[in-house]
Amino acid sequence: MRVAVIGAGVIGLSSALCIHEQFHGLVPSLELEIYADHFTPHTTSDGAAGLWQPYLSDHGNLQETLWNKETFDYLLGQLHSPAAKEMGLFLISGYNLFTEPVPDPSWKNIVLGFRNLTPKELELFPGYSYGWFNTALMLEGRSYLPWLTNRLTQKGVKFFHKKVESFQEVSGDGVDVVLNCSGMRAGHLQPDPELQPGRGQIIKVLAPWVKHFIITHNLKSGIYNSPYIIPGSEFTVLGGIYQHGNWSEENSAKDHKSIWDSCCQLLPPLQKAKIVGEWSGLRPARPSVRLERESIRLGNLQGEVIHNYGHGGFGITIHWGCAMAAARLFGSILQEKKQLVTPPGPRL
Amino acid sequence: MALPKVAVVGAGVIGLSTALCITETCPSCSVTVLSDQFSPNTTSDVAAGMLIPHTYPDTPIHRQKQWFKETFSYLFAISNSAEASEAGVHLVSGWQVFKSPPKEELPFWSDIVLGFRPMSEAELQKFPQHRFGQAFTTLKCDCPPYLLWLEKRLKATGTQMYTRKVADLWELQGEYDIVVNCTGMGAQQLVGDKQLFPVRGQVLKVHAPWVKLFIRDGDGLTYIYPGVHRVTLGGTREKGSWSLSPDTGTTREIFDRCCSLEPSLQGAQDIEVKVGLRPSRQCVRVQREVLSQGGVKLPVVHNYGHGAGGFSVHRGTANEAAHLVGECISALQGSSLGAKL
Repeated sequence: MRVAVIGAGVIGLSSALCIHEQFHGLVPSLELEIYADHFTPHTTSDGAAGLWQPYLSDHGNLQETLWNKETFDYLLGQLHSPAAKEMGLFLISGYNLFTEPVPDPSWKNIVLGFRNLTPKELELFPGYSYGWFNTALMLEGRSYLPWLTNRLTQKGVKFFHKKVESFQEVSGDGVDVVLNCSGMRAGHLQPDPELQPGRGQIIKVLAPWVKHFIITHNLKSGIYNSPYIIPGSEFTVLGGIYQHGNWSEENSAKDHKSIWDSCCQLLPPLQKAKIVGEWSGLRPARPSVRLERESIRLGNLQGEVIHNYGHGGFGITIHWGCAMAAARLFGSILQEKKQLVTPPGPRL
Repeated sequence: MALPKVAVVGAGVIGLSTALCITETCPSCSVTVLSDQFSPNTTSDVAAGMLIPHTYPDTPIHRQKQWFKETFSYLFAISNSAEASEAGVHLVSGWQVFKSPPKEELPFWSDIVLGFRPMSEAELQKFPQHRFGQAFTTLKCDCPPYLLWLEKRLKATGTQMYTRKVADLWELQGEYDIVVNCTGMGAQQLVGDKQLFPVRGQVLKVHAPWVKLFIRDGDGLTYIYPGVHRVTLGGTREKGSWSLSPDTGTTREIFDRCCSLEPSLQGAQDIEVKVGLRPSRQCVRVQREVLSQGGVKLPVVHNYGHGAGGFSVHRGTANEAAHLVGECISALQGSSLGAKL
């Protein structure tokens, strides 16, 4: 049973790991292969700051809220393990700021210690009259992706540096299942007008005195189009750009100025911060995550594709819930192919 | 009288902040700081500089609260300004956890720090040995940066600073009109204060930049305080110990206690061990005194004995000491007028 995974960002690697962990004992012939043209540190996941935080509203998509929760709970459980530092996982507290009262988010009971801001705290942020404080998690792609890669390599998963142009390309030769974790470029493999880039740009600075994340919201301009400051383990990320439909991965001077000015206004001490880098990336945005099976003609045979893409600006936030869901879809494929003689579960 | 000449003895956080307050309240004064040690060799340099007050048994609570409030406001403004990074002043959130119920549910300072509330059940799950907790956001003054920033502000006002060991306050009579005694542990010998005693503290300063939250055990012995570049791991409270040498067994023990609160600290690098003697007293001595010897008078303002709470109340006590210096000046001017008539 050969499984080809397309994509080596957080979604591809975690889905592969989840499937391997759950099924390699039950399917001795299970072979996983990962195909990607970009590996860490050059994936979209590497550019993200790594803060666990869903969007403000789940638009009634309860499924995604559940996947977010599963991810948070899983990561919280890993916090005390010796692997935490290597994974790039740690706790972080911080502020979400608004210019008017807003309803509590779907994730208020998922994070730790969620509460409204007090008047004294709001004094720190002139121009904002309402906000939240909570403790969440950071999962830095720069560390997490190499950690996932090491775990997968130890388990014998093979990696191939290749730009995949079609499902057929990777599914000859006994590959029964393709896991499509191609993120922004899923549209090249199969047209999907719902998948659009949400371009972001960030400035990396040295500001080690900043211990909190600060995320502002402008309900008119939309998510991530308002300044945010996210301190990591090595540098602090300044951002606030979300350009729907913009495919450019070049840094824009105009966006740089907008980020710098608005973040310095938000947090005056940043004026003294040293800039150490800049990056642009494309959030693979979609009205909802595409996580589903599809039967595809692969030459003379029927193959199964499990799609797992379109995680927008919350890929890290939702990744593990999606990986588990992808693994469940894989399990049902196995059952249908009678690869699983006994379904996993207690023997009666 | 001509420009009053004030000598501030001591260049830790108390000496420097008191000197600064004096230049602010009495711009016509000439202020000089004298100390045998300057940053990075003061007791303040060892401290984490966390604004979590120590309760002095014999100082009225309202006075301690006032000191803390003034200090917190002062630093709060700095933390949000362009000077924050240079001064090493920053906000930090975290948890104080207790194995048994805390003596007071609401400490006197709970409405001065930000967002003080009990920890939720979910937060407490991270600490299986602890059953109660408080979450809040407070300020931290990193040293040496904070002391160096104070020195810079002082120099800008024309304040002179000299390395000098003052063995007796009377040495300064004649050179200076008023002496301000901010000598911390040194006051025991300098003014013979037997109520002052050292409480030895050993700490580790480590590189663990992923630690963004503070964690403190309510017993005050184990704490993890993330600073700008290093995390301070503590600690000990050894009453009566004068030893400034790090103890290796203690280092191991502090590290283990902190790792049990925050396991990721196992990966901490570059462990530096430091020792300081908290200049402890039942109440902080902020007081005026006129020393007298052979018909000669020497006005003295004392500001020492802050023990474990120096950073938490430094600006408040400095304000009070500066006010007392103002009283000394008025008294001197009054008496010199009297002498003229």
